[in-house]
Amino acid sequence: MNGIWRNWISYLRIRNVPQRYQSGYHPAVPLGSRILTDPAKVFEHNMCTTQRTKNKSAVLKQPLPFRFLLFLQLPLFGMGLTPTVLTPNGNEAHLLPGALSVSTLPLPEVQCFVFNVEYMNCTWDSSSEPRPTNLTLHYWYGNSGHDKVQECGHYLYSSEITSGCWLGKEEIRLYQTFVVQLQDPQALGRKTQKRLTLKDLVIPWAPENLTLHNLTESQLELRWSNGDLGRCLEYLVQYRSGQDRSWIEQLVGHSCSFSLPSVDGQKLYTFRVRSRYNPLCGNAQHWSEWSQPIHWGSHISKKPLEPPSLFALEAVLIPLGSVGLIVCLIFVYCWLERTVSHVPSLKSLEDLVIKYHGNFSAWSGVSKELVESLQPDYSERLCHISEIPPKGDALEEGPGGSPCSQRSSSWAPPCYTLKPEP
Amino acid sequence: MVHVSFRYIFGIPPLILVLLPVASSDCEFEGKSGEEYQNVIMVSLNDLDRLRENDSNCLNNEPNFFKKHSCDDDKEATFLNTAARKLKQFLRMNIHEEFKTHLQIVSQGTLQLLNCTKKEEKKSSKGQRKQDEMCFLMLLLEKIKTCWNKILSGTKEH
Repeated sequence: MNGIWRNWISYLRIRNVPQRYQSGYHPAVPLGSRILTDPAKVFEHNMCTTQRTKNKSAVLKQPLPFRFLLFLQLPLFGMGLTPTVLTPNGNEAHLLPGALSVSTLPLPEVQCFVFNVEYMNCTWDSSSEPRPTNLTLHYWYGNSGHDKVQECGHYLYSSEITSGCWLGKEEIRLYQTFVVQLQDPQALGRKTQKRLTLKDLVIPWAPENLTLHNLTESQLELRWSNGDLGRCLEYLVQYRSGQDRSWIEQLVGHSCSFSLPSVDGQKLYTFRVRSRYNPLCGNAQHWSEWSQPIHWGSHISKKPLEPPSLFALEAVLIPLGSVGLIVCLIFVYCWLERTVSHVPSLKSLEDLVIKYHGNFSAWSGVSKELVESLQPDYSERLCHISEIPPKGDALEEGPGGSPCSQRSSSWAPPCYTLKPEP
Repeated sequence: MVHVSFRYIFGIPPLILVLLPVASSDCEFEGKSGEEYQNVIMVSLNDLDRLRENDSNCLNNEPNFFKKHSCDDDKEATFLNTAARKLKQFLRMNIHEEFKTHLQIVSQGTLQLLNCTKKEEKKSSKGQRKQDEMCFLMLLLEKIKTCWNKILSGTKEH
């Protein structure tokens, strides 16, 4: 097989070189040789052996059967055989199938984070590799130089492939330049380096032990513990009250307290805090996780009033309300019909005279009971008051007599007369 | 015997006297609370970072200055003193006035907080390209900031 491969390579080399001058009687000499047989071919004589020519007719043509056999070797190349390549210096070099493409692939990027200055994880995406490869990680610090290069002592694995490195507290130096190198052990030339400033990559733990207490009747103070990192941390406090859905946030320095000036005791407040290693001891941009929330305020579990569905209003309540209103109106109308007396209808006045003989009540339709009820049940006589004439003048009774003399059958009203002055 | 005792009497004590200032710290560090750093120096450092151009052409190799002077344990104040004095040399560069102002704040502020008595170092007379000077300046500012962070964190790193 190696022989067949060599023939194929030779064919390629021959195919790509210009045509040699051949005479019928003199042997062909290689291009660039010292013997110039034909002065007209001085160009080819001086041509390099690997130089191509644009003149296709100058390409040396092999006999057809031989070319066909050489082309048959092409599938063999794809079957995983180990081909050999002629290097420029004439040596043979074994070429691994696909190795050229892998060695040019970039390595995944390494990301490192220091968790609360207790340990550090440097991770990379091992799934981005075309073939599962256990990449190796080496590191050193800028000041120490390459003399103290160390390999990762605790690899992290993902699907049995290295995907990260765990470094303990003793190996972490926040204020020195951290140089990390990722390397493919199967291709030593394939490696990547990265310089990191660890003080900017610290992620602290979430704050703990949140407590609330009243400073005054309406002022509330939130406190939490700062852990080991002390004043190196700054904090972000978020709170909301009652039915609010959005948080109100406040950046707090390295003091572990936050006060809310006025609170409503009828509302339920919720607080939470997170921290960041910034700005006194580092310039990290990543925040920690949120702390466990803490509540204060009304203990009645008031569920936030959810806005009633507009569909329920429009589709159910309004029709029901309308029907109910109509029914009520009908009942009111019926009740009014029964209790309120009708206004008599005015018929023709001729009927009053002709038919009812002046009986107005019958003509108007007023009931007999109503007529009787309107009759007065008492009588009152009129009492004429007059002056008593002076002496001698007797009060003469009029022809009609004084009303005082009129007597009703039932009651004689008192008569009052004015007495003359002495 | 006489010349041996002569050497010990007159040779070593002067040597001790010469080396003593190098070994001891001449600085009375006053800014350990961090307030002056956070409210003054850090503000100017951040503004300098904002004002500088994106010069990604700087090489990764560290200049010799940082191989001789580094913010090692118990030498933080000494390094800051040296670095702050080095900053003053850049005030004579042809740079923007706002940039110069912030450089001066960082330099003077650091020196005041350190309150060191060490004499000023000799100025570097090497002629460098402007690009190299800017790269060195940016690296120097970054080292100053890192050393301040280390001092305020109270961390000792081996």
